[in-house]
Amino acid sequence: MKSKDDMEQRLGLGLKNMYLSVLEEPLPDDMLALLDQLNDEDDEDTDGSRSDLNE
Amino acid sequence: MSNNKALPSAQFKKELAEAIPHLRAFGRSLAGDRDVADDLVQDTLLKAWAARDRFIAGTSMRAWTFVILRNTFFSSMRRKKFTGNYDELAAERILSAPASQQDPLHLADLQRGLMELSDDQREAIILVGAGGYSYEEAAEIANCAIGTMKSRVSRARKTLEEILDEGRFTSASDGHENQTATALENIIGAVEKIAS
Repeated sequence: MKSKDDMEQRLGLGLKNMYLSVLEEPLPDDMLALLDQLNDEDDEDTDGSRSDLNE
Repeated sequence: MSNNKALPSAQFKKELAEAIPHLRAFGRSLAGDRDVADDLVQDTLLKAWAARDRFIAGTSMRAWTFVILRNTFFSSMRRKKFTGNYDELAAERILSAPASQQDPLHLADLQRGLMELSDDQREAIILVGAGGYSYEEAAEIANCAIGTMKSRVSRARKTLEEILDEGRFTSASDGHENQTATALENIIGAVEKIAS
């Protein structure tokens, strides 16, 4: 027997846990490597970088 | 427009790094796929770095990068007619729930359910329901009015509850053509495929 409230609660909890489970994962190595590279790469504008801020 | 104080590069990079786990969580919920989401995050990092002079010190790096990620995602969808899929690797996992709850939601079901929603509704429920953003913050990220955001969240909740309660998924969440099938029909179909 599932009441509406119960479903709402399960949904809310499920969404939060789904999000939190990703937060707890270690970052992939290639992402960390990319972050390191950002030091040296100066202002090479990547494809579409400006327009994605303003859409 | 340019009276705003930019962050020194080192500080910008530090704040950017802190936003990464949230970008991955947002991206994965939006795209429904780990690899697509991580590619999106990498694109977002590059774009944010290239545009770092436009970031206003003291504002939210997370919200700013969420805007870049969602715009990247939606323009990529428009270009490539991207169809999301749920994360196969996570299909076995069950979301943790308090011990009192007998019937926790399966992550795979929730992810498939999310992919059934319109893009706008999926984004809204992720930001507010999963990410914990206020309606106001979420509306700013999605570039819409607060009332619109409230209505998207409400409709998304209702639709998701119905889908999950009844176990009804269309093949849209698999990236196939649009036909409705119950979970049981999907299972029978899969068994038939294996048997043939």
